[in-house]
Amino acid sequence: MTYSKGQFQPSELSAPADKPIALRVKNLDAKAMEFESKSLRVEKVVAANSEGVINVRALKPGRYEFYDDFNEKARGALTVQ
Amino acid sequence: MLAALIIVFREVFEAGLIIGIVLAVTGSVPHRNRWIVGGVVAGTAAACVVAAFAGALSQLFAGMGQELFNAAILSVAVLMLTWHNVWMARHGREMAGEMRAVGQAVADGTKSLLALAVVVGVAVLREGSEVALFLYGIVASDGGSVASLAIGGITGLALGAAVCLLTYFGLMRIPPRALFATTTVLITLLAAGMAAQAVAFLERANWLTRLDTVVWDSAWLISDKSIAGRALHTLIGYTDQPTEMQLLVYVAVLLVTVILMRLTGSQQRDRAVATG
Repeated sequence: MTYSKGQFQPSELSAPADKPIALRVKNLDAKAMEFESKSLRVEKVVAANSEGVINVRALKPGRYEFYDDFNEKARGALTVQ
Repeated sequence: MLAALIIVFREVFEAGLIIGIVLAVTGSVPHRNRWIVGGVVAGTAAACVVAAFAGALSQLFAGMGQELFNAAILSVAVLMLTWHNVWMARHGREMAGEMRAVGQAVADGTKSLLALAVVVGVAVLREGSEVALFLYGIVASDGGSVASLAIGGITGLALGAAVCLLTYFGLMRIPPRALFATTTVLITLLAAGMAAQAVAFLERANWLTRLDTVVWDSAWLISDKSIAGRALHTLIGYTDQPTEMQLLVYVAVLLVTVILMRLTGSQQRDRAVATG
């Protein structure tokens, strides 16, 4: 997943249920961003022009929203099935 | 901000207490100010080096380094807070007496002013580097902005400086025991909360995968994102979705602190009885 011009690309992701996954976020902007999701229980600052890996525990099926805590306009969701 | 204020005030209070007493006791010694100021400056400079080093350290890591570094810093802060509480339980009463004895020795010419400057410098370094580490830990744990951190820190520093002056002019008019009893409870809860936060970082880094089931979700009552949730998170380590491991570590830190303080406190009482 990439983050550029204040948007997640793609903003809709999908993953299998009951398996731990890792999200790789590449921040192409010149500003730091914070990948955050209450339902995924993650919070991670990704510095400008760098990459961050976010570990997510095995999840039940459902839709999990995430956003950039430094820029709440950037939103997306992970659909687990 | 509140956590920064409490920690900075608590730490500066101790250094302020020592400096205030040193100033009052050495009132008649010539050139004492340059030595005491020298001690403060040297201690502050050394504390800043530690702080700068902590910042550079965080830049070195990549990937899970951020989580692991945060966990490590929080763990160090927990250890220092706990050690601090235990140390205060043992030495809180002795400290004022010891400082006065050193000041008296200087006035008597049996010790050089350098010794007292070193005592001041060491006090400032210890408190200052703790402040730097704690502030870094607070930034890591609640993501407080630099501005609110600065306000909390400067307010804490100003309050601590006021304590130094009050100590100097009123010479121990403030009952330190009453203040320590209150801040000891706050510091203990803060330490337990930071330990639980360190667990959360380790869970995110996949270093801790045992007992990671969320025990309850009290977001409907107090959400982490609400002002009350944020205040409670900073003060007592509240989180609306704690994992089993977080709760376990939280309770463990509380128990260990109480037990260690009881042990060192009772030793203190025994010694007091034996010598008194």
